[in-house]
Amino acid sequence: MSHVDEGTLHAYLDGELAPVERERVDTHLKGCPACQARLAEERALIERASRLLGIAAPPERAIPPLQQLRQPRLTWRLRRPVAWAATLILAVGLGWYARGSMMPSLASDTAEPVLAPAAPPSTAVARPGRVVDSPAYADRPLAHLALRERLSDSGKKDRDERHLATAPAAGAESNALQSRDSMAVATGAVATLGASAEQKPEAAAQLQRPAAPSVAVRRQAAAAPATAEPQAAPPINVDGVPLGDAASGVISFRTRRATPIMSTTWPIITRQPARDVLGVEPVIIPGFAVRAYRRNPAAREIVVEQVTDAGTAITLIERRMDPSQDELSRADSAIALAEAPLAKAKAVNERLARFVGPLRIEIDGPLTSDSLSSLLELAR
Amino acid sequence: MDDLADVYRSTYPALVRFLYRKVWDADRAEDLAQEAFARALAHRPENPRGWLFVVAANMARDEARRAARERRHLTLLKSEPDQTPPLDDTVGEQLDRERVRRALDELTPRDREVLLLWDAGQSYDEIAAQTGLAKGAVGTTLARARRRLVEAYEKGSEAEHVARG
Repeated sequence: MSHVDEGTLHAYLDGELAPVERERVDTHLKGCPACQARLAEERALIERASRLLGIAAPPERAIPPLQQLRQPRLTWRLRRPVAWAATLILAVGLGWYARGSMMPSLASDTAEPVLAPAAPPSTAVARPGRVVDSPAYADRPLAHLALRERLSDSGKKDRDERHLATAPAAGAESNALQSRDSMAVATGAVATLGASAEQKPEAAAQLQRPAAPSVAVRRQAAAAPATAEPQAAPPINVDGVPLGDAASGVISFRTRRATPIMSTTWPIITRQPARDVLGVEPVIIPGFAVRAYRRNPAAREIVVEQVTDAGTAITLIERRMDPSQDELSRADSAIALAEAPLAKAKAVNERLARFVGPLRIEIDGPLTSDSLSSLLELAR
Repeated sequence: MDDLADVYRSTYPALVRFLYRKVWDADRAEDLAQEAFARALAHRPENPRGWLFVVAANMARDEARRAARERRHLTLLKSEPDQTPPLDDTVGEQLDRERVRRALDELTPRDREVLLLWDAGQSYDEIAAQTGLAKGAVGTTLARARRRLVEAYEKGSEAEHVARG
């Protein structure tokens, strides 16, 4: 037979030749020193190539139990609308902090989360008193930070209605604006980040005081009409396009897979106008460059985009406070910060959920725990 | 179910390895691998292993597009920061990995795909099925891919030495 070609030598060395072919190659090699030399060369090449690939191998980690895969995962779907992994969203309701003693009960709720079984979409969206918390990423250096907070602006209901909607730890990233708007329908005073239209209901897992009947993500007013506060709800606009009728509570969600966070399309403004919109100095996390201030064309709301050195974007969504509640909520937020039960929050930390003052923050993504800690420290 | 559980144990690390060379982020690679398995659990493909690699390759491709979009966005804003490497790496390891990564980038997409699939433990048959190559062409492709990888890596290293003087 003629000399063995290169591809066949590789297949031979890879053990991928059929027995008949293999025999033919063996026979040829016996009588052909040239091919033997080439065989040695190719063998060295293969070893070299696999060594190089070995350098570029991921760190070995334990295989997560398959069981986890059966837990509802919202990560993927929620991440799709946003730029991958590198987006860190921190939605802060400026001034809409918990009222006074709110935090302890929240934290105790959080400290003992219930793993909700996968539930059919229609029922899971608005289940009070539940936390769905995926342990899948509990041991992971984190990075995606999502925070949802919602606080009613109706004074008497503040405590009962306040709840934190928490995405499972795995799935923090999501379409911030959309969900913020949906929250706005619920209460008209919101800072949140959360579910996109295609989100699985489990994604809407909420942390909520059992007595609170309100709903974080709502597709139809009929789902929970009792909690709608139409007088406080402005029309829902996304980039100036009405999404639905806020007064009726009906929102038509649009799917926007390809669109990154909507706020990135808001017009860029400078700090002074941002300040004017909010009535107070915009909150920024110190130590990180401010990339842009943007203004929501449809609401008194700004977004502060900051970047960390990790290629991570921080988006702070800030809304103007109702002037009448200004002093009150600020005072309360101070109390809440002081009273935030850090010890209990630590237990929750194990699930990548952290409290910064009254804000619950969930994290997932390529931020080292070091920089996360410093980030949280700064946010505090 | 049990089949898939077996496939999971045997294939998960390979899938992560495969994905890592595409997204260059260990956490993200694991995320995508798990997502692929989650989809497999829902779809129950006949040939789960091959199916998983196809799905993983598609997800990685989508991911790369998104990442490219995001980079463009960041570049426009003139604030694209460097990637942070994992903390537990030494500087030397990071450099080496970066060199390998650049060397891999120089391969043609097909050569690279075949090489990565092989390195993730796929057989010639499986590689042929996934890439549409004839099985007989897999060896040739692999031979070329390996050679180019090594050459590109060495060329890159030399260039660095020259640059350093």
